[in-house]
Amino acid sequence: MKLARLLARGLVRLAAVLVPSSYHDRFVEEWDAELWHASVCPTTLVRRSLGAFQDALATRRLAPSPRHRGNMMFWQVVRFAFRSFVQRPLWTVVVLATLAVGIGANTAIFSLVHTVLVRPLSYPDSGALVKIVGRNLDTGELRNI
Amino acid sequence: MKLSYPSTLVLQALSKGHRYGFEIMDFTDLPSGTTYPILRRCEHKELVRSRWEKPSQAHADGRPARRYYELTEAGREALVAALERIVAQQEILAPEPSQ
Repeated sequence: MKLARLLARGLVRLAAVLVPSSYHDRFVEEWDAELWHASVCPTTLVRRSLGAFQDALATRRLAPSPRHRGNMMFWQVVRFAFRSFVQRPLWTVVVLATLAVGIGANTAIFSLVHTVLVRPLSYPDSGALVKIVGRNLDTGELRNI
Repeated sequence: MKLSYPSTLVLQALSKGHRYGFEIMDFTDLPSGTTYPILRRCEHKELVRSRWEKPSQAHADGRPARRYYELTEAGREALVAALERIVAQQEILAPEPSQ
């Protein structure tokens, strides 16, 4: 019986080569568990393990395409994140507050930089400006501003 | 959704409380190469759902966790329709009463 179980497990592992990698472990686990629990004669056990090949082909045929898997994974991550937020409200508040402060500070700094350094001055040929001076109309004296 | 005869047998086994692959085979006398692909297809069509036994419970008993299957509502409806069809077919196939 031990030999039959060993042979059956070997056949399952051979069949598992056909299964897409994301299903591989579960496939082997399910078959191993069934073989472990089986109380049938050794011949039946080995015969049944041969069905793993057809199972592997069916699993392979029904497995979603990589693109579909990508979409599924994306929504899985979104659902997981949402559940985590619901389960830990304090953590959610901290994350949202951090994001709000971060985005707010970033916007404020960029607004300031844009106004002071980037935005052109409000008169023609402002790019040609080198220096601003004041002239005393009475004395004609120039002073830096 | 029309079910094949072996698929009907598998769903009937599930409705009778047989939940594991090998248990279903014992009940239906179908080979594993038929039973498992049917389970996969039925799960894909959402006629059947599968769950894993809690590993903690299985490990406490010193055995590996099993994957068990159960009918969904759609599966139950498909099974009822398939059984009605089979009963109707059996009436067609029944021999004429001898005169």
